[in-house]
Order: sequence, then structure tokens, then C-alpha cells
Amino acid sequence: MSVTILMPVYNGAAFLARSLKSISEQTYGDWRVVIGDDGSTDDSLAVIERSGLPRLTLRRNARNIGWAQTVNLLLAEVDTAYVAVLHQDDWWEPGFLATVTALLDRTPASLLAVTAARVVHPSRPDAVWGLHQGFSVEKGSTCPSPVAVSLLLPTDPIRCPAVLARSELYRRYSFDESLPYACDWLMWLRAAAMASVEVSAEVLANFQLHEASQTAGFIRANLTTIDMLRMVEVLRTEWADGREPVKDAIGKLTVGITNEILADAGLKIEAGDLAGAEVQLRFARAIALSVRQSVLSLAGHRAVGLLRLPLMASLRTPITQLGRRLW
Amino acid sequence: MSQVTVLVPNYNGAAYLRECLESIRAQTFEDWEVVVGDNASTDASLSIVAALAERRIRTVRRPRTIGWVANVNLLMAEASTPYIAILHADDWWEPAFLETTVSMLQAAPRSLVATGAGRIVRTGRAAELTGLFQAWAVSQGSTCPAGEVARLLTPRNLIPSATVLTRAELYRRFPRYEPALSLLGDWLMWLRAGGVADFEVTNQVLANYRVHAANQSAFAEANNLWAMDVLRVGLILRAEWAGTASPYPGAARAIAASIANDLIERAALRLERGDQATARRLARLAWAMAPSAGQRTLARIGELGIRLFGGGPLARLREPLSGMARRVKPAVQRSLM
Repeated sequence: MSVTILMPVYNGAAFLARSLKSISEQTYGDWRVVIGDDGSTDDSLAVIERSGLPRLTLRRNARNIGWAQTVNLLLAEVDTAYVAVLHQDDWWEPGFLATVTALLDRTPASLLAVTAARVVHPSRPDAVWGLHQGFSVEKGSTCPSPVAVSLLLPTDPIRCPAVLARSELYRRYSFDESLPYACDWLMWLRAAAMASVEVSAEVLANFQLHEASQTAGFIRANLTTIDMLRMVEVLRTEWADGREPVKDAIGKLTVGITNEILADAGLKIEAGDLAGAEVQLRFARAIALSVRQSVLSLAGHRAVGLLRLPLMASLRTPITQLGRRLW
Repeated sequence: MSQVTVLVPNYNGAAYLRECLESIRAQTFEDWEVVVGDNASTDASLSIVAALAERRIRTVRRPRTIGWVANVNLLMAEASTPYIAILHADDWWEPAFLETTVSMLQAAPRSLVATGAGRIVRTGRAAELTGLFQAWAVSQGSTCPAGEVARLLTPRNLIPSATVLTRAELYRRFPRYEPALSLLGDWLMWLRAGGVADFEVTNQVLANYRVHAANQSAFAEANNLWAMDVLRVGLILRAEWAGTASPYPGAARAIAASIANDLIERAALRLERGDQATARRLARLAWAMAPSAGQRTLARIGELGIRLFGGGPLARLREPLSGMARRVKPAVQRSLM
């Protein structure tokens, strides 16, 4: 057996048929699946049973403990050279495993193989994400470690279903359970800092975004910010004393995170969540390293103050659009 | 079925585990069972448990090391008794712990938590006491009412986990410790619970809580992870306590102020150790969390001070100035809260 597919499941009955089918339709057949049910209260288990997927092991948590925690427990089951983590709501194109296993087979030095991913949003057009957007695969698929790190500092271009990892990576690191929204980003950064990354420009994975996950909008999005801040602190220690994989890596990561926070503030203003936007803009001001970012967050902060006036509410969308264009 | 389940999360705690388990066996109240949650230890932990040959102690094992919060959350599923306690492998109880806390909860059916004084044990330092009794004078009665508990715990966590016995009902209402909070999950639990439930309080010393250089708290302090957990608690509660769910008037604002204060204090400590860069970052985060203009100004002044006196020729003034700041701080804080 070459590949272990780990799938954390929590109340995924609505999506599981699609993701499990995409496993059974892989042109590459040398895999096994370990599903970790994280205390589902819906029909997930019935859907899994009905799928009839071969070589499947099911583990169940007695309580709901979180997805990163569930995957970390599942990592104990890995006895193959390669590991993929496929979330219940994501799915693969049939050629995914064939492509990524071939890439890692060919280049023993690389720890990760990453394809392009289609990001599917319920109300916005699909987008494509991947390392290929910053690294041209025309001259070869092996993206050197420093290049891969540089691509991962400003934002996280790697979607989880688009990754196959060598199991060595997970013998060294678990997913950081304190970062529910950023632990995969941290994992890819650590992997890229250690070794080269295999890149494919083919769209072989699909990543589902949800409106529902935005419902607790205020809480969730501001906690995403804490995740990113904490990730920086973790790496600041790991990369201290000249261990930075590229020059000024922490600075670049901080700039990237500030941009993410500012972008989220923009979305919040458009959605009418001015209080949430204000929190974001304060954090952006607190961590901004560049003059440009400081000015933008200050301007945004002032604009939010103005937009709170009832008369100005209709100007919300034009103003954030203007801000985005200027940016 | 016994009355109390004691959950003992353990990761490589062989050096302390026997003392911990013996302190449970030495309880004057004997109707308990223990579940050790071994988090894939690589030391002698398991043989220590086996050597005790105690039928009331059983072990569940994780196949791979996960966070202690996840370990505890999974352990919770093992308890089916009316009362639950969580005793970490490096902590231990006084013999009267269970007898005292069980009888307190039996006498107060509306209370979900009973807590006593905990002795903080540090190598090379005199032991200190901590507990909710420091904020709630037990002469007023042992029952600290819902709302008041949350208010008293807002400035800081006074309740070490080892000093607590809970009704199982608590974990039906709040089914898990916040998975992402590796350090302050218990503070958040008591703050949430203290918003809706009465707590029984005694000033009797019932538990011992060990702080040692090797443990995760020391590592986290060095890496600012503590500050990150503090921020997370602040954001979670500011959202949960906004509006009608407020456990006491102005709670959302008070927790934000408390978090900002905490960050300012951490910044000051960093500065005293000569780590100017970290001090500045923490002061800026304090500014971002501060709910009032006064506190924001304080954070700004702090940051400015760090820039001026953190290094260079003015660094000599650092200690006298921070000493002065510390003397006026309580008064300033009171006026800002």
C-alpha cells in the first residue's frame, strides 16, 4: 500500500457521497482510507456505510474534539509512504492520486506534491488556487525550498485537498491544535522550509467554501486573526537565531497577514458588520509593518467611523470597492 | 456506580504520577474511580499505574500524542458519575479534597462547581495560595452566585483546575474545553460557567498545583503563546457576552479591558528583561484590544515609553520608570475599568 487517505468527518452527511465517490474513482488504486468520525450527530455514518468504499477503516471519537485533533489521532494509523488529508466536503478529480504519487516517486527529496485546486463558492464564481500561480512548472515540477517558502509567506495558496505529503512530514509534525483555521498553512510552511515542493498546474482538487461557516461571522473571522497572529509567534521561535528559511521571512509573513486582515475588514464592511471590521482594522494597525498598510488601516478605521452614520450606509459598497482598487 | 470520576490526563508524567494517584487513594472520601488518559507517553507512566494494582484506576490510551485539551475532552466521555474532577498528573490533592467538595455540592443543589484553595508549588520558591476565596470572602457564605463568579474571574483566573469538583451537569451544558486554547481553556470554562451557575467556595487548602520550568506554561511564556491565548479568550467572550448574554453589567467591555491590562503587563515584563521588540508588539496588541479611550492612551504611552527607554542612552531610566508605573498602575486601572 502506498497512500493513506485520512478523512476527518463531522456532520458531513450532505457532502460525503461526493468526496467518497471521488476516492473510488481514482485512476490510481494503491490506497486505503481511514475515516475519523468526530462525534457526528447526523447520518454521516450511514452515508459512509452505503458508499461501499473498499479498504476503509472507521475510527470514532467519543466526543467532538475538533478537526485538527481528529487528523492528529488518525496520523497514528498511517503505515504508508504517502499521506493525503481529504476533508468531507472537498473532492478530487480522477487523476489526482496518479499525478501526485508520480511526482513524489520521481523526486525523493520533496516532501509535498501540490496540484491546482478549484475553490468553489456558493454565490461567487469559482477560482483556481495553487503554487503554480507563482512558480512556472514549464521547466520542471520541483519548486526549490526557498521559492516555495516565499510563495507561502504572503498568503496560503495551497488548499488542503490538493496536497500529497510524504509520511515523514507527519512523523515530525502534528497539525497545531491551537490553530483551527491556520494549522494547514503552518504545516505547509514548515514542510517548504525543510524541502522542495512538487508542483502541478493541473486542477485536480476541489475545495468547497460555505456560506454557513460565515454565520458566526463576527466570532469566527476575528478568531482567524488570532490564529494567524499565533502562527507568526510559533514561527518566530522556530526561525529565530538565523534559522529563517528566507531573508526577513517573519517580516514578509507579517505583511501577508496584515493584508489578509485588511481584506477581511473590507468584506465585513460590505456585509454591514462595522463592529467586526473595526476590530480587524485595529489589529491590522497594531501589527502593520509597512507605512502603506498603516495608512490603509488608519484610513479604513476612519472610514468605518463615518460609515456608522446612517446617512452614509449607502456608500459602503462604493467606498470599499474604491479602497480595493486603490490597494 | 461510584459518585466521583477523577480524570487524570498524563503525558510523560512518570516523575509525579504516583504521588498524584496516591493522593487520590488517600482521600477520606472513598467512593471514586479514576481514568488515566495516557497521551501516548514514552516514559514509565503505564508501568507506574500498573504497579499500583488498584481496581478503581483504569487507563485509556491515545494512539498518538494530541493536545492536552483534546485528551481531556475525550476523557470526559469516560465519566458517568454525578461528579467529575480533573487532576493533572503533576498535581496532587490533600486527603480532605473530595470529602469537602462533595459535601459542599450536596448541600447546594444549584451550584455546579465547588472549589477550594490551591497551593502553587514552584521549585526554589515559597509556595503561594490561590483560589476564588481571594475574591469572594467566604464569611459571606460559601455560595458565590452566578454572574458574580464571572465578574470576579474577569481580571484573572483564580481557580486552578486541581481545586475543582464539578457536577457532571456542567459538562453537559459546556461539553468541551475550547479546543484551540492550549493554556487557558479552564479559565474560559469557569468564566462561561460562572455566568450561569453558582460556585461553592472554601478557603481550605485542598490541592497542590505544580509549576516547573519544564512544563508547558514556562515554554509558552517564553514564546508569547500565553498572550495569544489571552487574546483568544478576550475575543470569544467579547462576542459571547455582547448583548443579552452578558453575565453582569458591562461584562464584554470588562473582559476586553482585562485582556488589554494583561497584555500591558506582559509587555512590561518583556521590557524588564530587555526584549524591546516583543514588548512593543504586545503593547500594540493591548492597544487593539483596549475598549476605552483611556486604556488605549495608556497602551500608546507604554509603547512610546518602550521606544524611548527600551534601548539606547535612555535605557538607564527604564527600571525607575517602570517601577513608578507599577506603583501608580492599580489606581489608573481602577479608574479605567
